[in-house]
Amino acid sequence: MLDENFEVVVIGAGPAGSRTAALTARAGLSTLLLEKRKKIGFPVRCAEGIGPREEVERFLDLDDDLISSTIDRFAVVSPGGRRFEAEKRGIGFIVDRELFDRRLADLAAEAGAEVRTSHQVTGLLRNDHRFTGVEVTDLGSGRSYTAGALVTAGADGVESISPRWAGLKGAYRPREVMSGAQYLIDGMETDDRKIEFHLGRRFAPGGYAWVFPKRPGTANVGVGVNPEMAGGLNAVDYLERFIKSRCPGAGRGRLVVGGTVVARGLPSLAAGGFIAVGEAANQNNPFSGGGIINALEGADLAAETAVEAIREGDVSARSLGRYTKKWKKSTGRANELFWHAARSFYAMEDDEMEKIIAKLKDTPGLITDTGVDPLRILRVLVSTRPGLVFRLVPALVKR
Amino acid sequence: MKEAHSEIDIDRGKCIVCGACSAVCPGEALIIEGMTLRVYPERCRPCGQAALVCPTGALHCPGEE
Ligand SMILES: Cc1cc2nc3c(=O)[nH]c(=O)nc-3n(C[C@H](O)[C@H](O)[C@H](O)COP(=O)(O)OP(=O)(O)OC[C@H]3O[C@@H](n4cnc5c(N)ncnc54)[C@H](O)[C@@H]3O)c2cc1C
Ligand code: SF4
Repeated sequence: MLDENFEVVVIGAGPAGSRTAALTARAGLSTLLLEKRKKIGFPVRCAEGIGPREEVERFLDLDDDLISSTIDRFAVVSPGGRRFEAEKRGIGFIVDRELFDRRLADLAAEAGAEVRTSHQVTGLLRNDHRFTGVEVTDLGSGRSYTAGALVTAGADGVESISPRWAGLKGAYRPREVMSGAQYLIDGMETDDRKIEFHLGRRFAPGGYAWVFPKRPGTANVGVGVNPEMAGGLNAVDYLERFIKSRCPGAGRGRLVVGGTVVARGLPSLAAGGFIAVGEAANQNNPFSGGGIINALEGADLAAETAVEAIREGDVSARSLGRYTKKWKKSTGRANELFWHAARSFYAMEDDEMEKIIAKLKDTPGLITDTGVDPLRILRVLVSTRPGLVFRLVPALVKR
Repeated sequence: MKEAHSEIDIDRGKCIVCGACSAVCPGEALIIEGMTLRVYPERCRPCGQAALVCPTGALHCPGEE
């Protein structure tokens, strides 16, 4: 017998989970949001960069207390040290990610979701037809219990074991997880309205190094590397190298490390009674690793589908599969293009990358209102690697 | 570069409990429980993959190259 019953149980109170829970609760469904951490949003595992206001405010008000700095400019530095600079007012924000995540969880609670921290999901329940809820351990008391659900949403982030339990994916290959490390650096030379991306094997093989300013003189300075290209070094080793070059002698605050999923989209995001959302569902942008906004977008589609399915009384894989379709038609499509672009771009030797960056620099329309246009990147990549076009055809014509 | 390890070895002073290794470990031998990284050695295959991903160099796995 089940200890408790809900219409929706959500695993993980990151952006994906909190947003999903807020929407299902707002639609009147009884919703339980389970988070294993003691404190939502802490510790932060993020560079805290996020898109323009219109984009963020589709999901929550970007109140002043959430904003550390407003970004109007960015620089891409090539392996050889050439700079590509562009300006676009309000192209993004550096946020206080801890507050950001807490705000989203508060919105879920205000909508009527029951939020439990220090409660870890340890398994999924199932009957012959579908997944029917979760096994939970209260880490405070050590007590274990079961909670039934018509729909369980796995929003458990990078570790994301729940979609594995549901058979939607396996373990990641190392190259599918960008390995990241970052210090909050104090007393460095920065333009507090400009973000920087540094490319090349020296600082970030298969990824990039970044400077995201939090306030004048203070920035998140980090690197993300492809573990299979790192030659036996780890992200912290590369970070040391980058700091030595970019801001030697500056003061160091908190160290942030973590992995980000940069894998290709999943074929299916739903099983009977189960949906995967956010990073757990490979919804991050595979080119940048960015996943906050994508997690919120995924949550909107996931919650909308879960609400419909529960109202119709059909939470089968087929019914919940509408969510996969919606995702693939929207951000999933852009992500597929970004994935192809990333695969070619980050594998390049420094000299080839140098040439590509020079070409990108002269590409009109590369910068859109919400970031970069994957098609423009691909066009430039195809111009130097014509073979790529064959791999791209399915991504371009399908759907 | 790294020495061979016969079992999963975590330098707790370096581990920041980020969960990157957990995402890659096929056997679910590395699980973040609350705020600690718990190891289930009997589930290790071993494949050496998770150690590659660790951002801090805290983790060594059997089978690592
Ligand atoms: C170093 C680094 C820098 C980054 N920088 C950026 C950036 O600048 N901009 C950007 O957009 N993205 C960035 N990202 C990616 C971004 O942080 C993630 O994509 C985003 O957090 C995904 O949101 P989510 O809700 O899917 O998962 P998370 O935010 O990871 O939330 C998942 C939650 O589930 C909980 N959980 C896991 N397992 C269980 C369980 N069994 N039971 C209960 N709870 C569980 C976790 O504790 C966690 O709170 C960065 C990532 C890293 C590592
Ligand atoms: S990847 Fe490294 S730092 Fe992160 S939890 Fe695993 S052992 Fe700890």
